[in-house]
Amino acid sequence: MTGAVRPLLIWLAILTTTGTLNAIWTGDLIQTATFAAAVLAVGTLVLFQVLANPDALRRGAPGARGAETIVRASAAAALAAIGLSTLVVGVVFGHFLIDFGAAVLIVGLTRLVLERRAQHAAERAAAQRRAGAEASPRVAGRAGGAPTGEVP
Amino acid sequence: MRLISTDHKTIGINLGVLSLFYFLLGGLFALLMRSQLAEPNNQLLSNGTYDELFTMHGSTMIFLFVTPMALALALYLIPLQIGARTLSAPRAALCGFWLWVCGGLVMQSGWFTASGPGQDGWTSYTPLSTGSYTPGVGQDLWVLGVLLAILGMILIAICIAVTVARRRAPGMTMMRLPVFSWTALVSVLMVIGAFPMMVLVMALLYVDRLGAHIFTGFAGAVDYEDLFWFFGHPVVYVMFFPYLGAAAEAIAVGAHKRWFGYTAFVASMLAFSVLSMSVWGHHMFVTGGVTNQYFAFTSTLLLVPAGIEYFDLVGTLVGGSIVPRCAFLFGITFFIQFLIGGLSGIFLASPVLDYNAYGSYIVVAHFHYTLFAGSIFGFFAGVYHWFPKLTGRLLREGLGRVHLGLLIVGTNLTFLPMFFLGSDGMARRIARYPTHPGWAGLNQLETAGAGLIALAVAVFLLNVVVSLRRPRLAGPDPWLGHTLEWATSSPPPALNFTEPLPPIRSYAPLLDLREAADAAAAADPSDPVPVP
Ligand code: HEM
Repeated sequence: MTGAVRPLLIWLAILTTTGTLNAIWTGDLIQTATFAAAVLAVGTLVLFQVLANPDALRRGAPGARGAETIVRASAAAALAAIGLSTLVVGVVFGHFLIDFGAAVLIVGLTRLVLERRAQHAAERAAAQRRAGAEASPRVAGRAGGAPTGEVP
Repeated sequence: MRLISTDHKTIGINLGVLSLFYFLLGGLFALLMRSQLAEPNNQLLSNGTYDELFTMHGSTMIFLFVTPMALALALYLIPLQIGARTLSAPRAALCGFWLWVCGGLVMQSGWFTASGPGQDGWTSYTPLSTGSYTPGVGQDLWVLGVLLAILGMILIAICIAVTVARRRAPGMTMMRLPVFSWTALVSVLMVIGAFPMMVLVMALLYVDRLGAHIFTGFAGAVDYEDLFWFFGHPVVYVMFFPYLGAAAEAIAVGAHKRWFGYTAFVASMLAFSVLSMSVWGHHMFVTGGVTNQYFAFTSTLLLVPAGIEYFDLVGTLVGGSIVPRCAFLFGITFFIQFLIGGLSGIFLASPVLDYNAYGSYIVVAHFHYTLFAGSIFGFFAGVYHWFPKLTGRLLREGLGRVHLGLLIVGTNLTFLPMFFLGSDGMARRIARYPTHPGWAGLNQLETAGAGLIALAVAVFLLNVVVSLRRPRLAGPDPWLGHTLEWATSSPPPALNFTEPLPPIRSYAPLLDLREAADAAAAADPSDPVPVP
């Protein structure tokens, strides 16, 4: 992810400039607050990327990715969305839908947590296999990024 | 299984196909409106039904077609273009897709309620949209449907942004991202920055409708507009940039040249997208509630990055060996048609002129040249360009040309007369107009144009059916593409790439290879370098 957030920082810098210009020129509190909210939203994303991998701030090309598990399907994600939507519509149509939606949402979220746990467990196992494989060069872990013919 | 798949290609296709269905639905609403407006004092539709139709037409096109379609293109193409096998946080993207599906259903379910669907325009201004003036479940469903759809699109956008940050293939620096990927990236940044405001606004509006008097109490109608347009203007550009990227890719490949002025293009996209988040007040000049000078200034500044895009277009065409296939032609038409929207926008960015044009058909003409022409021609450029990648089959060029011709004539017949009607005083959002010299004829032209657009879309659908039923196989790279998606099979396999990627040394890695091969062959014709 090397270099990923540098353009995002430029983007944020330009937005902060137009926002500051707006604050000086208009003195409108609501408008300043909306600019600040947008900077905060994208800034949070940038911050998460940097915390996850400080390399994101470095200039240069990304390297090969480590082992990772592939998620092929998730009924839980769909359930969570349907549950939340049912709950929201229940606000218009009555308690039954709120209760039903909340139940589906809870089932969906619980399943999501279980799926994530299983994924982490698989990732740990793969990492261990890879660590073992480093001793024997004939076995390779599955790289997450596509293989490349780039000459380093 | 398809509906719960977390493969970015499947989610992208599901989102795209459903959005296309909503395009047809929104188009049907437009045809009904145009039928009503075909004659002065026509009695086909009641005022109330007309209100519902323009509201649901605008909302369907914006929340359920053009914006999600842009995200669908990004979902499908970005991982391929950056050489990634999968999407980051694919479950979140799937969850976002389902939220959007539910949002669409909730919004459209208003048609089945006694009060009818949303009826206060896609802007749903207060106090009109508060419980006192628009009671009934239909408007509630509109508000909640929009809220859910927007929430879903935010989730999808976050996944796309994180994918670009984390999953680029070795060698793919940010300054080697393909042109389409850049346009989609700045769009998702805008979604992340601006769309949460719409979630807040819809939640507040709903609470207001329950009787809390937010926009009719401590906050006023102008505050609603301020918050709404902070989302409402950026969304217009989210409906533009990815289609610009699609048109640019189709043109560069059609001209057998790399996109001209890449660095300036990237810089202008960054500036363009931020500026377009800073101009929303130009929708509010007439309210007297915003500092017009600031918003006129920022709106006029938009000309600079827009000019760079056109300069790059010309630079790409000059010296290219052009093969005018459908994708290329749609791409060029995109730039030409959007120019009308863009140039009329310069006039509307001037408060003095906007005072006169506000609420008239001039505005309807302007925003259809930007929203409709400025998306649909780029969208079709993308479809003709990438359909072979998605399906492994080629679309028919002949039918494509008929499609393009009908769409060009239809678009201009429908939307150009609106400028004249608007400057003659015809107001927008009216179901009936009086017999006024010249109005009936121009309105009839517009209705005929709407029919031609419908015909063009029918020809396109026919093209898709014919191409799928009697396939002409495309192979992995039918156009001599520039970017990594053309380095894999058509359609791509589950994890996108089975072969090692070519070296990535620019934003057009496959073109690099071909150029290197050509250079080597020129240096030593007896020893040609094989192109992978
Ligand atoms: C991508 C495609 C399109 C988009 C995004 C779009 C967007 C919009 C929007 C936002 C409105 C304003 C709704 C409101 O006042 O609240 C509108 C109105 C309208 N559109 Fe479209 N539109 C599209 C395609 C079309 C097409 C193809 C036609 C004609 C065939 C059309 C005809 C109309 C008409 C007649 C109105 C109502 C004007 C009025 O009474 O004020 N639109 N459209």
